[in-house]
Amino acid sequence: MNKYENLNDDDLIKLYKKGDKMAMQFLMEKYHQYLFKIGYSFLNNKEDIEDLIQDTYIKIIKNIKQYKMNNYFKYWITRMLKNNIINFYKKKKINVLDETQLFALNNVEDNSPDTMIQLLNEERIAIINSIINEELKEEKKKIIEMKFNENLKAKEIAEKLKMPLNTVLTSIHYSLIKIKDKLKEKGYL
Amino acid sequence: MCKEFEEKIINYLIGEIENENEKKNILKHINECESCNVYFNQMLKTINYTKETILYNKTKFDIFKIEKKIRMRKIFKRFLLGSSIAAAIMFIFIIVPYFKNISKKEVIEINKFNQFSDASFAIEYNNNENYFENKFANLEEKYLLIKEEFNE
Repeated sequence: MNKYENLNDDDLIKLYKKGDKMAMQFLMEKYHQYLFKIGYSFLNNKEDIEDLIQDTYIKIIKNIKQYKMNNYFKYWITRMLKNNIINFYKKKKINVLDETQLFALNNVEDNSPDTMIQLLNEERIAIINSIINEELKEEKKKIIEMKFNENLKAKEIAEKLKMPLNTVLTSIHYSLIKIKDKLKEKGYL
Repeated sequence: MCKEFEEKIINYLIGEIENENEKKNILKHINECESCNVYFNQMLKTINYTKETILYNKTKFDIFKIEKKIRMRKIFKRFLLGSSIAAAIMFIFIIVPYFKNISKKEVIEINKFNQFSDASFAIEYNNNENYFENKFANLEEKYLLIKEEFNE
Protein backbone atom coordinates (compact mmCIF):
# COMPACT_ATOMS: atom_id res chain seq x y z
CA MET A 1 0.00 0.00 0.00
CA ASN A 2 2.93 2.35 0.65
CA LYS A 3 3.36 3.17 -3.00
CA TYR A 4 0.05 5.04 -2.89
CA GLU A 5 0.78 7.19 0.13
CA ASN A 6 2.30 10.10 -1.72
CA LEU A 7 -0.35 10.19 -4.41
CA ASN A 8 -3.33 12.52 -4.34
CA ASP A 9 -6.94 11.41 -4.85
CA ASP A 10 -6.99 12.14 -8.57
CA ASP A 11 -3.76 10.24 -9.17
CA LEU A 12 -5.24 7.22 -7.36
CA ILE A 13 -8.38 7.40 -9.48
CA LYS A 14 -6.27 7.58 -12.64
CA LEU A 15 -4.47 4.42 -11.49
CA TYR A 16 -7.79 2.71 -10.81
CA LYS A 17 -9.04 3.63 -14.25
CA LYS A 18 -5.92 2.01 -15.66
CA GLY A 19 -6.83 -1.19 -13.79
CA ASP A 20 -5.11 -0.84 -10.42
CA LYS A 21 -7.87 -1.88 -8.03
CA MET A 22 -5.75 -1.49 -4.93
CA ALA A 23 -5.39 2.22 -5.68
CA MET A 24 -9.16 2.62 -5.25
CA GLN A 25 -9.06 0.40 -2.16
CA PHE A 26 -6.44 2.68 -0.64
CA LEU A 27 -8.38 5.80 -1.56
CA MET A 28 -11.70 4.61 -0.16
CA GLU A 29 -10.15 3.26 3.03
CA LYS A 30 -8.99 6.81 3.60
CA TYR A 31 -12.58 8.08 3.41
CA HIS A 32 -14.40 5.20 5.06
CA GLN A 33 -14.44 6.74 8.50
CA TYR A 34 -15.55 10.09 7.12
CA LEU A 35 -18.50 8.59 5.23
CA PHE A 36 -19.37 6.30 8.13
CA LYS A 37 -19.47 9.28 10.49
CA ILE A 38 -21.96 11.10 8.30
CA GLY A 39 -24.14 8.03 7.78
CA TYR A 40 -24.00 7.22 11.48
CA SER A 41 -25.11 10.69 12.44
CA PHE A 42 -28.17 10.67 10.20
CA LEU A 43 -29.47 7.14 10.55
CA ASN A 44 -30.10 5.14 13.67
CA ASN A 45 -30.74 1.68 12.39
CA LYS A 46 -27.71 -0.56 11.94
CA GLU A 47 -29.04 -2.22 8.79
CA ASP A 48 -29.93 1.13 7.26
CA ILE A 49 -26.44 2.50 7.85
CA GLU A 50 -24.92 -0.59 6.29
CA ASP A 51 -27.16 -0.34 3.21
CA LEU A 52 -26.55 3.37 2.89
CA ILE A 53 -22.76 3.07 3.01
CA GLN A 54 -22.63 0.06 0.68
CA ASP A 55 -24.99 1.73 -1.77
CA THR A 56 -22.89 4.87 -1.75
CA TYR A 57 -19.77 2.83 -2.47
CA ILE A 58 -21.51 1.15 -5.38
CA LYS A 59 -22.57 4.51 -6.79
CA ILE A 60 -19.06 5.90 -6.41
CA ILE A 61 -17.51 3.02 -8.35
CA LYS A 62 -20.29 2.97 -10.95
CA ASN A 63 -20.00 6.69 -11.62
CA ILE A 64 -16.27 7.06 -11.29
CA LYS A 65 -16.00 7.67 -15.04
CA GLN A 66 -18.06 10.82 -14.60
CA TYR A 67 -15.74 12.22 -11.98
CA LYS A 68 -13.87 15.23 -13.32
CA MET A 69 -10.29 15.17 -12.20
CA ASN A 70 -10.41 18.41 -10.26
CA ASN A 71 -9.17 17.30 -6.86
CA TYR A 72 -12.66 17.56 -5.39
CA PHE A 73 -13.11 13.86 -4.82
CA LYS A 74 -14.06 14.29 -1.17
CA TYR A 75 -16.68 16.85 -2.11
CA TRP A 76 -17.94 14.57 -4.89
CA ILE A 77 -18.39 11.54 -2.60
CA THR A 78 -19.95 13.70 0.12
CA ARG A 79 -22.54 14.93 -2.35
CA MET A 80 -23.26 11.37 -3.37
CA LEU A 81 -23.77 10.29 0.23
CA LYS A 82 -25.97 13.31 0.93
CA ASN A 83 -28.21 12.47 -2.02
CA ASN A 84 -28.37 8.88 -0.83
CA ILE A 85 -29.46 9.99 2.65
CA ILE A 86 -32.20 12.21 1.19
CA ASN A 87 -33.37 9.39 -1.11
CA PHE A 88 -33.32 7.00 1.82
CA TYR A 89 -35.65 9.24 3.82
CA LYS A 90 -37.96 9.59 0.81
CA LYS A 91 -37.98 5.83 0.16
CA LYS A 92 -38.73 4.94 3.73
CA LYS A 93 -41.40 7.61 3.75
CA ILE A 94 -40.00 8.87 7.00
CA ASN A 95 -41.05 12.45 7.60
CA VAL A 96 -38.45 14.24 5.60
CA LEU A 97 -35.49 15.39 7.63
CA ASP A 98 -36.32 18.06 10.15
CA GLU A 99 -34.83 21.53 9.82
CA THR A 100 -31.86 20.89 12.07
CA GLN A 101 -30.98 17.70 10.23
CA LEU A 102 -31.34 19.42 6.85
CA PHE A 103 -29.10 22.22 8.04
CA ALA A 104 -26.53 19.72 9.22
CA LEU A 105 -26.78 17.72 6.00
CA ASN A 106 -26.41 20.80 3.82
CA ASN A 107 -23.39 21.81 5.80
CA VAL A 108 -21.61 18.50 5.54
CA GLU A 109 -19.12 19.66 2.99
CA ASP A 110 -15.52 19.13 2.22
CA ASN A 111 -14.28 21.46 4.91
CA SER A 112 -17.07 21.20 7.42
CA PRO A 113 -15.91 20.94 10.99
CA ASP A 114 -16.44 17.62 12.71
CA THR A 115 -18.81 19.27 15.15
CA MET A 116 -21.42 18.90 12.45
CA ILE A 117 -21.00 15.20 12.62
CA GLN A 118 -21.47 12.99 15.61
CA LEU A 119 -17.97 12.16 16.62
CA LEU A 120 -16.72 8.69 16.15
CA ASN A 121 -13.53 8.12 17.93
CA GLU A 122 -10.85 6.46 15.85
CA GLU A 123 -8.85 5.41 18.88
CA ARG A 124 -11.89 3.91 20.55
CA ILE A 125 -12.63 1.86 17.45
CA ALA A 126 -9.00 0.76 17.34
CA ILE A 127 -9.09 -0.30 21.02
CA ILE A 128 -12.21 -2.40 20.58
CA ASN A 129 -10.88 -3.88 17.35
CA SER A 130 -7.62 -4.82 19.00
CA ILE A 131 -9.47 -6.64 21.78
CA ILE A 132 -11.81 -8.44 19.38
CA ASN A 133 -9.09 -9.38 16.91
CA GLU A 134 -6.11 -9.95 19.14
CA GLU A 135 -7.21 -10.71 22.66
CA LEU A 136 -10.31 -12.81 22.16
CA LYS A 137 -10.01 -16.42 21.14
CA GLU A 138 -11.53 -17.33 17.77
CA GLU A 139 -14.64 -18.82 19.35
CA LYS A 140 -15.32 -15.80 21.56
CA LYS A 141 -14.73 -13.48 18.62
CA LYS A 142 -17.24 -15.43 16.58
CA ILE A 143 -19.82 -15.31 19.36
CA ILE A 144 -19.52 -11.58 19.92
CA GLU A 145 -19.79 -10.94 16.16
CA MET A 146 -22.82 -13.19 15.88
CA LYS A 147 -24.42 -11.37 18.76
CA PHE A 148 -23.83 -7.82 17.59
CA ASN A 149 -23.43 -8.25 13.87
CA GLU A 150 -26.17 -10.73 13.12
CA ASN A 151 -28.32 -9.69 16.10
CA LEU A 152 -28.83 -13.27 17.20
CA LYS A 153 -30.11 -14.34 20.58
CA ALA A 154 -27.72 -16.34 22.75
CA LYS A 155 -29.98 -19.35 22.28
CA GLU A 156 -29.71 -19.12 18.51
CA ILE A 157 -25.93 -18.77 18.71
CA ALA A 158 -25.77 -21.83 20.97
CA GLU A 159 -27.81 -23.82 18.48
CA LYS A 160 -25.72 -22.71 15.54
CA LEU A 161 -22.41 -23.39 17.23
CA LYS A 162 -23.70 -26.50 18.98
CA MET A 163 -22.62 -25.43 22.43
CA PRO A 164 -24.41 -24.94 25.76
CA LEU A 165 -26.37 -21.69 26.22
CA ASN A 166 -24.43 -20.86 29.38
CA THR A 167 -21.13 -21.10 27.54
CA VAL A 168 -22.38 -18.58 24.98
CA LEU A 169 -23.62 -16.18 27.65
CA THR A 170 -20.42 -16.49 29.67
CA SER A 171 -18.41 -15.81 26.54
CA ILE A 172 -20.40 -12.64 25.77
CA HIS A 173 -20.01 -11.46 29.39
CA TYR A 174 -16.27 -12.13 29.32
CA SER A 175 -15.75 -10.23 26.06
CA LEU A 176 -17.86 -7.24 27.11
CA ILE A 177 -16.19 -6.98 30.51
CA LYS A 178 -12.79 -7.12 28.83
CA ILE A 179 -13.77 -4.33 26.43
CA LYS A 180 -15.31 -2.28 29.24
CA ASP A 181 -12.18 -2.55 31.40
CA LYS A 182 -9.96 -1.49 28.52
CA LEU A 183 -12.19 1.46 27.62
CA LYS A 184 -12.27 2.50 31.26
CA GLU A 185 -8.52 2.26 31.49
CA LYS A 186 -8.18 4.50 28.42
CA GLY A 187 -10.66 7.03 29.82
CA TYR A 188 -13.57 6.37 27.49
CA LEU A 189 -16.00 5.41 30.23
CA MET B 1 -21.20 -3.33 42.59
CA CYS B 2 -23.51 -6.15 43.61
CA LYS B 3 -22.10 -9.44 42.35
CA GLU B 4 -25.51 -11.02 41.84
CA PHE B 5 -26.52 -8.22 39.46
CA GLU B 6 -23.37 -8.19 37.34
CA GLU B 7 -24.51 -10.87 34.91
CA LYS B 8 -28.14 -9.82 35.10
CA ILE B 9 -27.33 -6.27 34.01
CA ILE B 10 -25.40 -7.50 30.96
CA ASN B 11 -28.15 -9.95 30.07
CA TYR B 12 -30.70 -7.17 30.36
CA LEU B 13 -28.69 -4.86 28.12
CA ILE B 14 -28.10 -7.47 25.43
CA GLY B 15 -31.78 -8.43 25.37
CA GLU B 16 -31.43 -11.85 26.92
CA ILE B 17 -34.02 -11.35 29.66
CA GLU B 18 -37.57 -12.00 28.61
CA ASN B 19 -39.34 -12.16 31.94
CA GLU B 20 -40.98 -8.78 32.57
CA ASN B 21 -40.83 -9.11 36.36
CA GLU B 22 -37.15 -9.84 36.24
CA LYS B 23 -36.61 -6.80 34.02
CA LYS B 24 -38.52 -4.62 36.49
CA ASN B 25 -36.46 -5.98 39.39
CA ILE B 26 -33.21 -5.18 37.64
CA LEU B 27 -34.32 -1.64 36.81
CA LYS B 28 -35.58 -1.14 40.35
CA HIS B 29 -32.24 -2.24 41.74
CA ILE B 30 -30.32 0.02 39.35
CA ASN B 31 -32.34 2.99 40.54
CA GLU B 32 -31.63 2.16 44.15
CA CYS B 33 -28.00 1.07 43.99
CA GLU B 34 -25.51 3.71 42.90
CA SER B 35 -22.62 1.40 42.05
CA CYS B 36 -24.88 -0.81 39.95
CA ASN B 37 -26.20 2.31 38.25
CA VAL B 38 -22.65 3.31 37.31
CA TYR B 39 -21.94 -0.23 36.11
CA PHE B 40 -25.16 -0.24 34.07
CA ASN B 41 -24.22 3.00 32.28
CA GLN B 42 -20.67 1.87 31.65
CA MET B 43 -21.86 -1.42 30.22
CA LEU B 44 -24.48 0.34 28.10
CA LYS B 45 -21.78 2.53 26.58
CA THR B 46 -19.51 -0.48 26.10
CA ILE B 47 -22.21 -2.35 24.22
CA ASN B 48 -23.01 0.65 22.03
CA TYR B 49 -19.35 1.24 21.23
CA THR B 50 -18.87 -2.46 20.45
CA LYS B 51 -21.88 -2.49 18.13
CA GLU B 52 -20.61 0.67 16.45
CA THR B 53 -17.16 -0.85 15.94
CA ILE B 54 -18.53 -4.07 14.52
CA LEU B 55 -20.74 -2.07 12.15
CA TYR B 56 -17.78 0.10 11.22
CA ASN B 57 -15.78 -2.99 10.33
CA LYS B 58 -18.66 -4.51 8.42
CA THR B 59 -19.19 -1.47 6.22
CA LYS B 60 -15.55 -1.13 5.27
CA PHE B 61 -14.86 -0.61 1.61
CA ASP B 62 -13.83 -3.69 -0.33
CA ILE B 63 -13.22 -3.01 -3.99
CA PHE B 64 -13.61 -6.67 -4.98
CA LYS B 65 -16.96 -7.03 -3.21
CA ILE B 66 -18.24 -3.72 -4.58
CA GLU B 67 -17.24 -4.57 -8.15
CA LYS B 68 -18.83 -7.99 -7.76
CA LYS B 69 -22.07 -6.38 -6.54
CA ILE B 70 -22.05 -4.02 -9.52
CA ARG B 71 -21.55 -6.98 -11.88
CA MET B 72 -24.39 -8.88 -10.20
CA ARG B 73 -26.70 -5.88 -10.44
CA LYS B 74 -25.86 -5.56 -14.16
CA ILE B 75 -26.63 -9.25 -14.70
CA PHE B 76 -29.91 -8.88 -12.80
CA LYS B 77 -30.86 -5.79 -14.82
CA ARG B 78 -30.08 -7.62 -18.08
CA PHE B 79 -32.13 -10.57 -16.89
CA LEU B 80 -35.03 -8.25 -16.07
CA LEU B 81 -34.72 -6.54 -19.43
CA GLY B 82 -34.53 -9.90 -21.23
CA SER B 83 -37.56 -11.19 -19.34
CA SER B 84 -39.52 -8.04 -20.14
CA ILE B 85 -38.66 -8.32 -23.84
CA ALA B 86 -39.60 -12.03 -23.83
CA ALA B 87 -42.89 -11.22 -22.10
CA ALA B 88 -43.60 -8.45 -24.61
CA ILE B 89 -42.85 -10.76 -27.56
CA MET B 90 -45.04 -13.47 -26.05
CA PHE B 91 -47.80 -10.94 -25.59
CA ILE B 92 -47.54 -9.67 -29.16
CA PHE B 93 -47.24 -13.05 -30.90
CA ILE B 94 -49.29 -15.39 -28.73
CA ILE B 95 -51.69 -13.64 -26.44
CA VAL B 96 -52.82 -10.85 -28.76
CA PRO B 97 -53.57 -13.21 -31.74
CA TYR B 98 -55.41 -15.55 -29.41
CA PHE B 99 -57.72 -12.85 -28.18
CA LYS B 100 -57.92 -11.44 -31.69
CA ASN B 101 -59.19 -14.84 -32.89
CA ILE B 102 -61.64 -15.07 -30.08
CA SER B 103 -62.92 -11.65 -30.97
CA LYS B 104 -63.46 -12.82 -34.53
CA LYS B 105 -65.90 -15.45 -33.35
CA GLU B 106 -69.30 -14.70 -34.68
CA VAL B 107 -72.64 -16.30 -34.30
CA ILE B 108 -74.25 -17.14 -37.56
CA GLU B 109 -77.85 -17.79 -38.11
CA ILE B 110 -78.59 -21.12 -39.76
CA ASN B 111 -81.03 -21.29 -42.61
CA LYS B 112 -81.35 -25.08 -42.97
CA PHE B 113 -80.50 -28.00 -40.72
CA ASN B 114 -80.44 -31.70 -41.69
CA GLN B 115 -79.45 -34.55 -39.39
CA PHE B 116 -78.29 -37.86 -40.97
CA SER B 117 -78.60 -41.45 -39.72
CA ASP B 118 -74.92 -41.58 -38.60
CA ALA B 119 -75.65 -38.63 -36.25
CA SER B 120 -73.75 -36.15 -38.40
CA PHE B 121 -75.66 -33.25 -39.83
CA ALA B 122 -75.49 -30.60 -42.46
CA ILE B 123 -76.30 -26.97 -42.09
CA GLU B 124 -76.80 -24.11 -44.44
CA TYR B 125 -76.08 -20.55 -43.47
CA ASN B 126 -75.75 -17.18 -45.02
CA ASN B 127 -72.19 -15.84 -44.75
CA ASN B 128 -71.13 -12.23 -44.94
CA GLU B 129 -70.48 -12.35 -48.65
CA ASN B 130 -74.08 -13.29 -49.25
CA TYR B 131 -73.77 -16.80 -50.67
CA PHE B 132 -74.82 -20.12 -49.24
CA GLU B 133 -72.36 -22.66 -47.93
CA ASN B 134 -72.72 -26.03 -46.25
CA LYS B 135 -70.83 -26.65 -43.03
CA PHE B 136 -70.82 -29.36 -40.44
CA ALA B 137 -71.10 -28.59 -36.79
CA ASN B 138 -71.37 -30.73 -33.71
CA LEU B 139 -74.64 -31.50 -32.01
CA GLU B 140 -74.15 -29.12 -29.14
CA GLU B 141 -74.28 -26.16 -31.44
CA LYS B 142 -77.67 -27.23 -32.67
CA TYR B 143 -79.10 -24.44 -34.74
CA LEU B 144 -76.24 -21.99 -34.33
CA LEU B 145 -72.77 -22.16 -35.78
CA ILE B 146 -69.81 -20.50 -34.10
CA LYS B 147 -67.59 -19.34 -36.89
CA GLU B 148 -63.94 -18.78 -36.06
CA GLU B 149 -61.40 -17.26 -38.40
CA PHE B 150 -57.78 -18.18 -37.77
CA ASN B 151 -54.80 -16.39 -39.22
CA GLU B 152 -53.07 -19.47 -40.65
